Amino acid sequence: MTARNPAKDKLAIAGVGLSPYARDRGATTELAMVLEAAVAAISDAGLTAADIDGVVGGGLLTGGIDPATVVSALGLPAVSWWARAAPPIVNHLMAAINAVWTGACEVALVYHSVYRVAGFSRSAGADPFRRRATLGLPDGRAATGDGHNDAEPWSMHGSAGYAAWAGRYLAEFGASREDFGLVAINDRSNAAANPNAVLQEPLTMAGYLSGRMVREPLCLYDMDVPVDGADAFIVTTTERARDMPATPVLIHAATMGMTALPQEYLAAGLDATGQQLAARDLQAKSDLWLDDLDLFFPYDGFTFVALRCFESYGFCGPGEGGAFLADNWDPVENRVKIKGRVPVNTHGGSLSEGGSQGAGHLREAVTQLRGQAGRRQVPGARVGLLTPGGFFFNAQGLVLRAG
Amino acid sequence: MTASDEEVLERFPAVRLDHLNKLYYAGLLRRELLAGRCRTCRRWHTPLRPICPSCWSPEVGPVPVSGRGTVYLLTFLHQGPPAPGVDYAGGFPLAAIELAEQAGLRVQATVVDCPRDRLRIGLEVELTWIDRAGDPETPWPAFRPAPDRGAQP
Repeated sequence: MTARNPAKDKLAIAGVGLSPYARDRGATTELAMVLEAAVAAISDAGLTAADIDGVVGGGLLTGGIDPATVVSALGLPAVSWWARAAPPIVNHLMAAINAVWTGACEVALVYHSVYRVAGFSRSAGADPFRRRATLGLPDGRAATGDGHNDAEPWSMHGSAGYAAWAGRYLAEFGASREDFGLVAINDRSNAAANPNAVLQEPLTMAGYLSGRMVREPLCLYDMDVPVDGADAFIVTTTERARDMPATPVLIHAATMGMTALPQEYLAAGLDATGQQLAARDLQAKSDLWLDDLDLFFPYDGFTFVALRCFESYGFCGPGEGGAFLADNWDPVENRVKIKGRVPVNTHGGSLSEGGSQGAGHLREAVTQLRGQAGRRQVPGARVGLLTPGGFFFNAQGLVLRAG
Repeated sequence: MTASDEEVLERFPAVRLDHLNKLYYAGLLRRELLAGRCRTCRRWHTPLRPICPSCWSPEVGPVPVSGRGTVYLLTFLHQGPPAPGVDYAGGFPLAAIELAEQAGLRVQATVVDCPRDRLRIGLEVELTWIDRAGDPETPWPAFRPAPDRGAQP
């Protein structure tokens, strides 16, 4: 951990592209979605294939599309750096930041995709090609390298681990499921103004509490919604970005955090996770902090994770997340506005726009900081904080500012 | 008696076995729950590692644990992949058990023989064995309430 941040504001996001999210994109491929997003991002930045000399990406369920496939399918003629990245999105973004900063490349295409596969999404199981999409891939347990960290229901890798810690949180702090529910309701209220959000109908607390229990104490509405879709971004120097058509969004500070116990079942405590490390490191690297924010994007793959973001980043104390949301609730808009001003997950987050490991949060932050969010636009938004990922092996933090 | 590599491979066909974790699985076939222990610094660890995560000594190896512990994390799974003997209807308990040997030394397992209203974080438990795969010759570790003890707040 270091406060050193020589690249502060020197690099920028100069383009964004989306392959729209849907509960089911049907008979399409993950590659088709990545290319749709990539072409949109490159065009948004006013660039052509010849301008892209760096490529980095990856997705969760299939591992995503290999950079060589993207380079080939887009016909990129001269690439000098590429890498594969595991989600969440700051992994991809930091790889691009590092590559541009060191001169490994000048303009990096960053892509992330989600493609529902059998075993993850029940409806995807009906598509024989989605059953085939994971052929030969290692499962999550194998990917961790721990041969006896077995699959569900015998191990708490992933969702079950978050559920187990959510249960401990409730027991430790005397919190309630209603505290989790506020996160879900806030997301849903925001999603109503986002055409890319797959869940838009309003959610009430009664509705939240009646949600089907999945991994107790987490119910259907505590978990992000599976979607098909892809996002892409263009990262280059701020200097170069200023010559491009879109208003650059400056990368002010970025970090990731991991402790020696990154397994869900071994983490020493909720106060000793990668999320605390990421928060501490990001604060040390950033000139802008909580009082400077116009936008906050806590990660919400599970409601409980978002609640802990408020606590770990210092908006409130441990166990006070629910009370903080209630105290900062705007009853007219039926959503959180911190100090009556700063909305939270303006796009509806993973819970309502669709689960995309922070890629949606990043796209929305860029869109807001460019002033292009339409009826969701936060007037004069200049600074955004994003905290993609969970607690254990994938905690991340990012501060963006308008260029 | 320790099972041969061939027998471990045959008994756990769906596990990504390797030359280290095979020792853990061979232990299960003997109804022994093994954790890694360092002969240099005496610290325990799970899962098995090639060197001690605390002092980096290569003098590590699997040692049976007492099987006594407490429920540290607990969730009830109401859905999941079909598995023999697993009923999700009432919520299948999945716990992280903190073992008595050392603070923070944990294993993951289900809890059996425990009424739902008694099963909570802090419950003192002990190791037992269940039949995971519809094959009584392939024991699988689980925990049950320790006798004559209640939940610790």
